[in-house]
Amino acid sequence: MDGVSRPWRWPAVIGGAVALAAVPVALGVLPVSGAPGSAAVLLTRIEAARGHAYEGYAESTGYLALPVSGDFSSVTTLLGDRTQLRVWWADDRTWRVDTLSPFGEDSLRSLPTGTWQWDFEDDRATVTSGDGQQPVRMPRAGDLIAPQLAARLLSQATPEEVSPLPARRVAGRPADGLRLRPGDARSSIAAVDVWADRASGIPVTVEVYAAGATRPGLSTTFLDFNPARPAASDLDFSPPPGARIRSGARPDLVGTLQRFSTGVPPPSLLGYPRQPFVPFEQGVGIYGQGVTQVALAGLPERRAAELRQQLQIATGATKLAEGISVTVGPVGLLLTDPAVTAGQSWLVTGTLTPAGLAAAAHELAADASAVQQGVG
Amino acid sequence: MILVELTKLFRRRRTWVAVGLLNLLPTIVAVLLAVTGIAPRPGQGPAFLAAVQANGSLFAIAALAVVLPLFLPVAVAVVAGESVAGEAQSGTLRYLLVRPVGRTRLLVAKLVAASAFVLVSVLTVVLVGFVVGRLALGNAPIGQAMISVSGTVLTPGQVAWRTVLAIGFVTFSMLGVAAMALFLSTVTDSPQTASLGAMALLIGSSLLLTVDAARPLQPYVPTRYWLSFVDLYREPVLLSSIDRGVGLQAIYVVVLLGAAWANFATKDVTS
Repeated sequence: MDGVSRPWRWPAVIGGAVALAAVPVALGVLPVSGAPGSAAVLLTRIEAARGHAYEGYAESTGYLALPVSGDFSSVTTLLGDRTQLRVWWADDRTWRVDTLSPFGEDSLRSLPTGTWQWDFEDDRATVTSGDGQQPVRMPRAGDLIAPQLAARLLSQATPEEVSPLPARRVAGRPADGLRLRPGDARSSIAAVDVWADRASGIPVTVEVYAAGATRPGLSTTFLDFNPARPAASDLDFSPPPGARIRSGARPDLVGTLQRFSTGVPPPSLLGYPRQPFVPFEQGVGIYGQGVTQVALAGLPERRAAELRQQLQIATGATKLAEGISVTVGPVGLLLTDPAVTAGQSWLVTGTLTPAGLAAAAHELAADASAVQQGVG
Repeated sequence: MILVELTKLFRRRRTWVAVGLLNLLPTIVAVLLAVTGIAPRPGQGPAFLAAVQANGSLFAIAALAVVLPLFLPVAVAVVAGESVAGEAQSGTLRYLLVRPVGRTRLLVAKLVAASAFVLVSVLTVVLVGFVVGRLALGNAPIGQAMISVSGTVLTPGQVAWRTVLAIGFVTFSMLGVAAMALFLSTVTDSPQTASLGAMALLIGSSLLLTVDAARPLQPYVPTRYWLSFVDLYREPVLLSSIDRGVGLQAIYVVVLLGAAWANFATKDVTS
């Protein structure tokens, strides 16, 4: 019987286990060569890299438990769950983004011939004309890819608002970081940390912090990244034999409101002008840019009543004279009372502080009152 | 020694009962699908189950997805948990070690036997799934192309090599459970305790994957990448999670087998 007198085996096994467990920790804290450069220069590099080609595998993680479901469940999932994505980006008009699940995948491809959406579990391919760049729509998984999210959040950043962060390794590649601390007091976003691939300047990690938060409410990062133009074969799509094919996508909530809502959003809100969308001007309005963005949606009463019920039982809901509001991390939701906004329930949502939401509701109520007095 | 252990394992009736039970669940699922014609709603069932109505051959892969989360690891835990503790409980371990057999060699032989059980189990699930799928579900020609998860057409050759890789990946994924059960089997003289301990690891790991607060831990729990074999049927093949899954399982296997070896080699065997 060998071994009974060899007590060194346990220390050897424990030492080996500790060493193996320490490897990922050591890789994570391993310093990346190169001193932090100027954040302003990095901001310029990131802007210059916008639209460049890349491909990779990414994961976004949201910690925002929005208390809404039904029409908004896709947004709740995006901001409150982990989303695994594969992306092939040739340019802003030619790309493919796959949302992965253990059961299948939902693939969206923007091609010169149109936009294809493939849903494996539904065995359905949907083709729409155009390049998939709808001016206004519900958020989708592709919006959470680091280059897209960074482009949106940094669009109004100035060199004075950014500071350097220590470099880190993302997807095995050195990446330089900057922190944006927005100057807009109405924004609920306290900081946006962005790391950009050192070789290409393309953002590879984005972390969004709400005011007072010690951990990001939303983070997205590449696990594999290659700043190269994807092969055409990875982008092309032909519907497989036997698959159901639909021409024209069903309108999402935003599309439905634009067509059927009778509410016309005001030309400005909180001093931000409404972004122009053609051909529809009713139903939905988008205001602000960068880290302060507000969406205004005129909900039909049935949908509004359903949403109101959900908000009323939500943790932290605040009852205002103009409606009810809830703030989850950097995302604010406010539903106005139709009695004070001329019979129209407005959903105000975006990256506004609670005070900003209340101010928006107050402004909408004042506008409605002025219109009624004018009519009277 | 290895041959002796393999012979002993595969001559046991309960080994084949376990394999049979393992195949029973996917067979029931196939029959129910065939009788009712009701495929799971998108996102509600195991991978590929919605597609088997059109092509029964795909049930070979769907069957893997059916048994992988629970039944397969339970069977592996039961067999591996019995490896050493079963000998101790029946009083044969002492006599085994009286022979000029090193403890390390015995442990290696037990490990090989458990690994062989895992491989045989996975292979039978795939083969039985294929046959049952062909008989009970869509009887498209065997040479018919398969639609990948990404919506491209895969030739039978592509499906074949991807399925071989999937079998290898699932088999390797189960070795972590086998190593845990084997380690516990060296700690206790009760095979049930060893099996239940390994199952507790499995259940705890699966539970952690559903808890948001445990997200920082999730990349390190043993069940994290098990279902990633589906990535082999994407186009192009996604190897990221497969690589991570293999690496993670390798660490669990090395550490737990090391612990089993350290414990067994220094243990006082009294039964």
